[in-house]
Amino acid sequence: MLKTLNDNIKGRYLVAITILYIIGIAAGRICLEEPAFIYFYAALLLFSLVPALVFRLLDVGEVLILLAVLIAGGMAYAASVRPPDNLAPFIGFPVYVEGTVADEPLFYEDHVDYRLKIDHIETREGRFPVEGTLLVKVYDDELNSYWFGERLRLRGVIVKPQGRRNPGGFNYSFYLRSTGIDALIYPRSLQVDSLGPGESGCLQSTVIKIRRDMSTAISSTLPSPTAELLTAVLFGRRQQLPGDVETNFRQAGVGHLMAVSGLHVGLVAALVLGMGRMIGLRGRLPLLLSITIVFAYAALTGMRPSALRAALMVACALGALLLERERDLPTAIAFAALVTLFINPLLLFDPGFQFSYVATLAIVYISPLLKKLLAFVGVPSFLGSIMAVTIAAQIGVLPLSVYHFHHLPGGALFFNLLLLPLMAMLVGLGLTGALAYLLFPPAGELLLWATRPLLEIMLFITRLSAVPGLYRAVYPPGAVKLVLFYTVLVAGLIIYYRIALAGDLEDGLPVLTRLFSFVQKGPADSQRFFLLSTFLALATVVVLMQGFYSLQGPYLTVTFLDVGQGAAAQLETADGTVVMVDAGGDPAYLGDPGAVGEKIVLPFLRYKGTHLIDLAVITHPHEDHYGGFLPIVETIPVDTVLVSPQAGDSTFYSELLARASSEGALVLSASAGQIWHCGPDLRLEFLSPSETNLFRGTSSDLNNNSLVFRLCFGEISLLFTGDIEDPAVEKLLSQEVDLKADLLVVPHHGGYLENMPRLLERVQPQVAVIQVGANQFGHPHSFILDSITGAGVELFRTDLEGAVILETDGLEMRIRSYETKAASGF
Amino acid sequence: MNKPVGCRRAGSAEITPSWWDSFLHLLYPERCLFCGVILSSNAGRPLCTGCEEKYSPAGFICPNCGNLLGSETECCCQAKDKKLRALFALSFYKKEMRGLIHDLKYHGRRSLARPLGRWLGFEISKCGFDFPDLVTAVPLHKRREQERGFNQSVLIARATAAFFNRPYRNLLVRTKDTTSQTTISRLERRENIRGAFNYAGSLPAGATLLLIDDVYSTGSTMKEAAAVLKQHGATVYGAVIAYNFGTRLSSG
Repeated sequence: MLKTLNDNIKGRYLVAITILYIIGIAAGRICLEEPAFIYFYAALLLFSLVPALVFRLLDVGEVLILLAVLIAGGMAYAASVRPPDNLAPFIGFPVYVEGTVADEPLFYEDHVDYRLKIDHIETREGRFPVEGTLLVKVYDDELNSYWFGERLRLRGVIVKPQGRRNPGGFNYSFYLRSTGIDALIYPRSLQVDSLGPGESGCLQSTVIKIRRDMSTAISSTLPSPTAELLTAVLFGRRQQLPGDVETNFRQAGVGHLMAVSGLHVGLVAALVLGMGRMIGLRGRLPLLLSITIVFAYAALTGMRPSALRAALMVACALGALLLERERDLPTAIAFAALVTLFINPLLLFDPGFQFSYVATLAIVYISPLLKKLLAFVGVPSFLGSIMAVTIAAQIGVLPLSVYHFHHLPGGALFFNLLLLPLMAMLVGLGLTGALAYLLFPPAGELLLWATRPLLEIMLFITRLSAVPGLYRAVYPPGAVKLVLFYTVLVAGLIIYYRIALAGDLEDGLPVLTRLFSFVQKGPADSQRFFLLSTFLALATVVVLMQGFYSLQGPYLTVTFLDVGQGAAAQLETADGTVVMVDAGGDPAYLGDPGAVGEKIVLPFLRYKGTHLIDLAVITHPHEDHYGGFLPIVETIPVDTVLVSPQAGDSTFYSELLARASSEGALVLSASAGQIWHCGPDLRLEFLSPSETNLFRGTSSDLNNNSLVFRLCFGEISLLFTGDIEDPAVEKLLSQEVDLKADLLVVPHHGGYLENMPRLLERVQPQVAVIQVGANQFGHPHSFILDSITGAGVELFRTDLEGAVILETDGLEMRIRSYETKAASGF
Repeated sequence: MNKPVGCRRAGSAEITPSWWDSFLHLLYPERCLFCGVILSSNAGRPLCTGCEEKYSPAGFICPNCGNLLGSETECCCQAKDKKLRALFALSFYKKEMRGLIHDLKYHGRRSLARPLGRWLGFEISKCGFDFPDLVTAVPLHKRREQERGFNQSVLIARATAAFFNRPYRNLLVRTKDTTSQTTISRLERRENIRGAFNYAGSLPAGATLLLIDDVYSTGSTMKEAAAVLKQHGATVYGAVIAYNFGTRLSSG
């Protein structure tokens, strides 16, 4: 395979090694999360290596190298995904930690982030040496800020960052691991003490000092927000950028301009070479100087993957001149990726990494093709090359953008075409300006002033992205579809280049003959083709099995989402019927009860591909149950909304119902005795409240009048209880109704309930689910927890385990928590 | 001890590349000099299998009469005063080779020099020749070298020296800023080049030298340089990348 994957890899061993290493990392992640796949991969390897050996396409040595690189990738992933063990005993307790600030602090609107490399932890038992990196978040820091290299001693609770809590959600823990952070700590500013300067790398502190000086130069010369924009563009630091500017850039599809990449680094290299020549440097000196400065610049920007890629690629190109070798672009890209992933294998899953490399590859392989096409239709060549590059990059990157961010920036092409030429000028002027400022301020000021019109134009143009309909939320493709898209793209390109190459050799052959001629060229070629197709066929089988694996089985999937404090559950049957029971919500006094819906529930629904909600049940009018519906009814059509007969006391609630009706939903109130059929298989039997006899004068009528219903699917039933309290429970227990259910949704987030043991006795559940998050009400109450475990019922809590997922075929059910399954999340 | 270069040496021509070379081959994979296709190995000829056919080896050339001798080193003309003991040419100055030398000399593709030099070494060693003690190149005049930024013959010779694992040394300087040899006739060339080189180095007595240039046409330059070196006690062998066979026919 090393030699024969295709012409592009043939002889480019570094490319082959990089591809294998990447496959190793990806396989490592898949196998760690879904151990069953180890067998698939082993089979795949066996079936491709044996023929390769038999046909003598690979010798034993090559096979060993191949396996070694694959395994190295998997091991590298496994080693870096686990946080260091030595912190584990200290997690969750108040402790003192000591360490050194390892990076420039990041100032956000409401908090400051410090990256703290810790060396000691002190508890009541003593002082322990440890090793690790904490992200320190100080929310009330108005008095002090601490700088790079300062030693701090602070008190707080070390917290494990949350992993992926819900399907399709953001994996904060994985993200932090990929930036080298092991855990979080949230001290109050008074609990942070400085111990004076500590040891710090001289190089890093110089770099940070230069960056700070340059940023200061910019902010003292230019007005806001142009200063912040220039800092973001030059150094990729956007913490200070006003939110609306960043949103505009993202919606315009030009967010990548604020990631330092090839354009910046290439320009820096060219500037250094040019200046070196101007002051009369000859030979190797300017090249060496240029390489050094390119890495220094990448360091200035914090060595993000795109900056590192650009620096490594430029170094590769300059190195070719230095060593008088012929440079090779695919090898340079592979080299950059290999070095980056060797340092940190987790970056493979970093959107920034993926965008940077996919865009580069697309520009290298797709743009020449587009350029020909554009020239053919008569586009002038200067415009043609800009367009070809932009379109190629977009073809490569858009599917990723949709996959990661669930949004399609419709004007991306237009905005990129307009802004890219500006960027070249801006980066050149800005960098020389900021640097000149450090040496001779008036000159720097002049240059920086000159960037202002460019920045204003950029701000103006990106504001146009707010044109309605340009930037749209879309349903993300699954990982399988994404991989399929890129496979087809790559296959298409290989075939194209095959034909284009064959065209040089044998002119006049019709395209189709050429396409097949490479199959029949000779015994070696046909064997290669055979091997390649076997490999592809097996890969397809694996992908299909993966798909099949996820398709077969349950006919009903119930997902109890982790929405923090609140309740939200989504039910989906095999025929696509979707029921939502509550949708979480933030407290109304925070001003936006729908925020959770926007942040958690909607992304989940998009991930699930929910285009229509057949039935939305709002158990009662409290915002932690209905709030999430506010953004949902605006974006996803809802067929029917069932509410409690109890009227709400908030304008948000009435607005929600009005909005739902105006969007075409049927809003009905349900009550005890009604049975609602949803699709052929789902049945909702409403048990409470009674329409004519609502609870009045209880401690919370809103809670007690929650809709209570038994949801039946085949022989499996689930009891949903909203936020009912003792009065409603007592009434339920006194009635001669069937309360038996396999799964009990514990009432009121596990709040105290005198009748809990009796309720458990009547319901006889196998499983109880508590939908709860961090709260000041003492939910869940220990009495409830004890009753559940005492009754021998299996307990799942969304606050501890993330989303809880139940799958059933109507006879048997399987229940698992999302986070334990995807310990590190995919 | 110096072995005479003229004696045949048994042994393979395969040279194991150094670790550094192998690493660089990973980073900057070798390409076929003719068609640019990536080669899977950096040992041997820098040509892909498809382009091997297009390569026409020249072999030994009689420095006296310009006859092609193939693998023989002695010519029938039996010249007495031989400044060059033997002359080896990698190929002829036409088609691909001409393009390569143009790219190197006039378009500044310095990356071509190393594979060409290695290739030259490879072909020489394949003829069964022993390695020289020193490798040197025909120098350019200072002004010309500054203009171009490099002397292609030196770049090639350094690569050949590295292939033989022998030192490269500058032994000559060109004192006369001569008119380009390519623009004048055969007879004028000899006059033009006379006294152009000065000896400016040190040689162990009786050293065998490999003198390298890019193109060999009438041989005036090469012979003039060799004469200077021979005066200082060296046995001089010559090697060039391309033999301009055409000039011999037209002028002779």
